[in-house]
Amino acid sequence: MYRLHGVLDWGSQVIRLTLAELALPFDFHQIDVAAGGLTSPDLLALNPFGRVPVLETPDGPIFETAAILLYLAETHGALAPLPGAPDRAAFLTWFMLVTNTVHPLTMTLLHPERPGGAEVAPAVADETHRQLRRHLALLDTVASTGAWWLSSERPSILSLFLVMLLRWIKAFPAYARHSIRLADYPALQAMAKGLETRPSLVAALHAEGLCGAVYSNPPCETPAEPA
Amino acid sequence: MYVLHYYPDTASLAVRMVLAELGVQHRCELIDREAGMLSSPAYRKMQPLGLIPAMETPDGTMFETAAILLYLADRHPGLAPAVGSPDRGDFLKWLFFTSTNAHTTLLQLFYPERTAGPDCVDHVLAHALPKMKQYLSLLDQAAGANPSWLSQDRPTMLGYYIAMLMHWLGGFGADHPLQINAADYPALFKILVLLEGQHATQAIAEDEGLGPTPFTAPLA
Repeated sequence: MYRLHGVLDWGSQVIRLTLAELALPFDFHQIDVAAGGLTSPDLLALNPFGRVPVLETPDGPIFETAAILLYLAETHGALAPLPGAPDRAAFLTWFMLVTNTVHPLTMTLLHPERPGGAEVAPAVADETHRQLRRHLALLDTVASTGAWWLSSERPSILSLFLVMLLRWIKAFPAYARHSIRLADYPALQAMAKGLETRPSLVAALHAEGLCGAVYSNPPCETPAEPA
Repeated sequence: MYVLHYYPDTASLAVRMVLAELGVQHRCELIDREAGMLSSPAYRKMQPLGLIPAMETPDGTMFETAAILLYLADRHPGLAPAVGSPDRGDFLKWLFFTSTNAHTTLLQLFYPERTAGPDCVDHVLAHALPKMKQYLSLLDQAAGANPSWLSQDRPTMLGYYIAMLMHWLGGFGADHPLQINAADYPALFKILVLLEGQHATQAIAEDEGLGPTPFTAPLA
């Protein structure tokens, strides 16, 4: 039995969706961030880094979103090309780019004070937005080639991961001017629509407190800046 | 047959050392960086962002250092736990940690202007250095238990990846504000000693001009 430690609409979301798609039972432990849950001894024992998600597995606790996703795909033989599959090389390439580049850029767009402090946050956010759009355009071209693991037909750990990032970029940028138009990335938007309407995922999204066009067109929740 | 497109002392180093350690047949093609090859249509077809390394495989061209390492681990057992082994989860956890946190923060130390231009460099460096040290401490703690996938006694894929990062971090010099001393991380240090003594490493270090002790004392 898996036990997932996380926060609603944080990175644990993609782990929940992956577990749901694999039809695996699990417990969810909601971390109370305001009460210091990220620095609690219980969490630090599972992840010395003090971050979520953490998934407790029969092989011990695993953290790092992408590591958990790949572990689940490999352990249960689904949602990613497995070793030996001809598209394993391409999949690993794009999966790695999303986790070590697109994910950090997304977090910086939401929290631009993190890389250099509040003083340089506007400049950091502008440059991050530029780099993110470049990477999303590249991923859109990959998604338009018809690879199943970046398509609307069936989910993969990569498509589930990426649509969560698209949601955050669209809904929660630190500056409203950085909210993206998903229509600029038609293949990614189609993928997002396909996943958010998939019956096996709708209930999991509901458990995250989400319904509707949560990936393909979530409203931007950042107030517009004064002109 | 693998073809690794490399340039001395760049991220291709980790892949090159792992290929040599695995003893698999491969060819290394030097990227003519000075002639602008990274921006050439031929290279961009392999690596659309113009980054190093790229590797041609029987399954097509791939890039991203850690992705190439994982792919090689699939095909050539010995340097990382295989899918299904009880250590696989721990290995993935620390490989992704290294790629998404340590490697990413290291790039901020070396190219701080990429985050938000030249005006923000001091701010970025001041934030990145303590993060880098925290990540190395966490890796050192993980290595302290001498796990199979980050062993102090035999070469591992993750060990080579971290050794490459430590090689770069050790290059700032003793009086440089960004200086990081490998000996502050004793478990990692043992791994660095082991790996720089490997024949595979020594031949590559000589070829790429990295000196006799590229990991423990890169400036020696």
